[in-house]
Amino acid sequence: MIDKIKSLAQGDNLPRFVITVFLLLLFVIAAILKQPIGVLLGDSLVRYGMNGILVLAMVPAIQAGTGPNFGLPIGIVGGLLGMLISMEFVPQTMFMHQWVGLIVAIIGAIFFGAVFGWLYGQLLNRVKGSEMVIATYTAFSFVALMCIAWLVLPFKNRAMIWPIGKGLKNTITMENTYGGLLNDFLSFKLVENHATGSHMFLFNKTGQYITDTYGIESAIKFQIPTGMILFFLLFCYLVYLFINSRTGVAMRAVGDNPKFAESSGINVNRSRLLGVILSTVLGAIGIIIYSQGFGYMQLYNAPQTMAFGAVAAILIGGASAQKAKISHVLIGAFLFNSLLVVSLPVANELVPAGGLSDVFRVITTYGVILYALAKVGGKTNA
Amino acid sequence: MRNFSLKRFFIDNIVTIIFLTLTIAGILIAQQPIHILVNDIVRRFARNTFLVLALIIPVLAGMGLNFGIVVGAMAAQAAVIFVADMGWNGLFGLSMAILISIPISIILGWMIGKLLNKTRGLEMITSLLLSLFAQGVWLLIYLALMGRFIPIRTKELLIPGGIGIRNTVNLGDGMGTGIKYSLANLSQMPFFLAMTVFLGILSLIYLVRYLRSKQIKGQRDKWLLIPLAVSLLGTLIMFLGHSTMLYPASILRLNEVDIPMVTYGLIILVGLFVNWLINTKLGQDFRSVGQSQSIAAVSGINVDRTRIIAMITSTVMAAMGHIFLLENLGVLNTYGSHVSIGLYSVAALLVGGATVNRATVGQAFLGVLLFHTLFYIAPFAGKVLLNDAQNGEYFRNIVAYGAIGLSLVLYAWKQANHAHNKAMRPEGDDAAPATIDLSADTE
Repeated sequence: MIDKIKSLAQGDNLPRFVITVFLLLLFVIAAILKQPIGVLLGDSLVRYGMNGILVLAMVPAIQAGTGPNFGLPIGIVGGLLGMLISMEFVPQTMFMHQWVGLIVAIIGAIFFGAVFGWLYGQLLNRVKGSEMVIATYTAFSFVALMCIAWLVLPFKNRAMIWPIGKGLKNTITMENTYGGLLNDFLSFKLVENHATGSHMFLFNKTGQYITDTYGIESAIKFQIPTGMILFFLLFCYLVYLFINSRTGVAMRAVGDNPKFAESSGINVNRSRLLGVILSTVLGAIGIIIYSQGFGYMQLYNAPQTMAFGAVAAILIGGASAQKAKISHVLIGAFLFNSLLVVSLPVANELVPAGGLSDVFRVITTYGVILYALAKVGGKTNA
Repeated sequence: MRNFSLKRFFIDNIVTIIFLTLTIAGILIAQQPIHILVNDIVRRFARNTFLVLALIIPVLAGMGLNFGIVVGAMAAQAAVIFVADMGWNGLFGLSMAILISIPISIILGWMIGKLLNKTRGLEMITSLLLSLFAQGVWLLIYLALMGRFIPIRTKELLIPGGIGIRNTVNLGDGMGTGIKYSLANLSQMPFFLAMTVFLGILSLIYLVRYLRSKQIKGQRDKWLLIPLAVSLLGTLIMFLGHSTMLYPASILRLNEVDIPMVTYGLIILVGLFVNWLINTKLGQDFRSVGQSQSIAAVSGINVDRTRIIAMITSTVMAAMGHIFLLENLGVLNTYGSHVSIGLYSVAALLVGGATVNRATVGQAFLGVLLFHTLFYIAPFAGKVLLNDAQNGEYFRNIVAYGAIGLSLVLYAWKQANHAHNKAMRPEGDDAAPATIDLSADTE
């Protein structure tokens, strides 16, 4: 029993243990500082749903043996293309235009994710052994290249392009399309009216509806973005089904021991390719869910560092550079995103001037990844 | 001499060739006046070369491209901010900054070395992530602790409110206050005169080497005549530019470009130092560790210690290089100056033809020249091509990230093919790839 408890704070589990303790500490401090815990918890759940699929995208890549997918921005760009196409061609007069828009975006994301993932997987199959650093720089270069593409792609929708000059805007609001659609779908919200002090419990209502009905002085005290969480759990289940299928088991075998897998007749390159494509497609879908929750599409340099947060999250969940499970995603995404949400008001309260909350994010994100790398390198001694 | 294969040469230097082509195309498209172009390149070369030279030792020691020089740059900035806070000026301030940065960067380099010894085989991604991690620590110290727990005497350095260092720290006016231009102002020469001096010295060196080659090999080395002739011709061309009015006016305007002789002398000295270090016993150890850690260990080299020494050398050099960069720049961007250093230095070295396990001083010089020319010219070329000025930054990013991505991919690809060929034909030709000596101009 004691050994079992000890094992929760050792090896791959150490970041999870440290972050959990730190998070609980932050919650206690937040309570002492009289921060609204309900709001923080609600925001944590929103961020959890937003980032979940991006973190899930790490699972196929790690299981196929290509390591954490630092090339996630490639998938993210695919998802952005899907969203832009959806916004360009789905008119807002259409029946159920929000759902149609979301579905068109996801179809586009799957298409571009698969194409980019296939190309990127071909590349990774030729550079075995140095995937991580190459993935990082391939993604950086691709994001830099796409900056030019955002300027010259022939999109016409007024909501997306600069009124003067040319090219797509840096951030495109999704207010009039499917922004917040999944967040609000089947959601539970506790709304407080500052003026009267009354509380209301709402089900399946949008933020717009709340402002319209209860006025500008009302605020959400707690919320569960049911639709988004369900969507995330659905994808977790789909990936779970895949990795336990025949193909998925073969892919895991390749990740565990490529030589053994090859000798038992598995096509190593094909399995790795499959893992990378799946990861890229999930990244593409993930950014759609992220953007609809955030309310904006972010183009240009925004996708560049998005992979690091997702990698850190799954590592916090207990994964390593070679092993990852769905449970790691579920735990890690929650811990990491709650940490970011709670640390913000606490840091601002403790140190009024300065962006200390960003410091928390940077130190945790990269510290956790470095810890995982140190463990990989420790095992293989050249 | 093995027979020269054009195809081999092309494949081995593909990155340099691509960037050379891009640079030339960029210059032709952008149509910038030559003296403005040269002026900018002269300054960029003075700023960045030292930092790029700091990357060479880790490459030889098999630790790949050390993105950790960002941490060295942080040590430099810590020292420079301290010196600015104390109000020390001129050469004294500069020397104090260097003196203070050395112990800090030794400690940091030792820590990076320790970490990289734990992440064997993943050094590059580790040092990259380490540089991002260090940025977090830097923000913590300079944004949250400075002025609160760490006292700052000069209030002008602090953000109004008294906590955290300002976004930009002014390092003087270049006329004596602060450390700005304290080295550059020592001795400046107009372009043609400076080039005459440099090329003249180079010709002398080749002349001496040619004359001495008889004593060493018994017969004079005819191959040395080519660089000798080229450098003599260059000296003549530059001297004519200095003393006569033979050239067209647009080229004569190059004389408006001032070359900071001390800074350039220092860069050449550092280049010579790196070349000297490579050939010492320690340098031999670096190279054996870089080639195979197990063989090095068997032959009695303390592998871990050698790797840590390589890292400390690199970090200390990076710190000094960054101080000279700030001296030349005159403004310290507290939360940004160090961030881009790693990216641009690594990209420059790779553009010069270096790879993950091979780098020379000549490649560093060539790389800085090519990369920063392209870096300067890209926005102008982008403006001409896309008729939009705001694309410049994007072009620059493509250049920097593209250079690194392309080099890394080509290198890994080559390694994978090599391993594959070896597995297919155990006795196959394992001849080392033809190395092209670009270091001639430094010797």
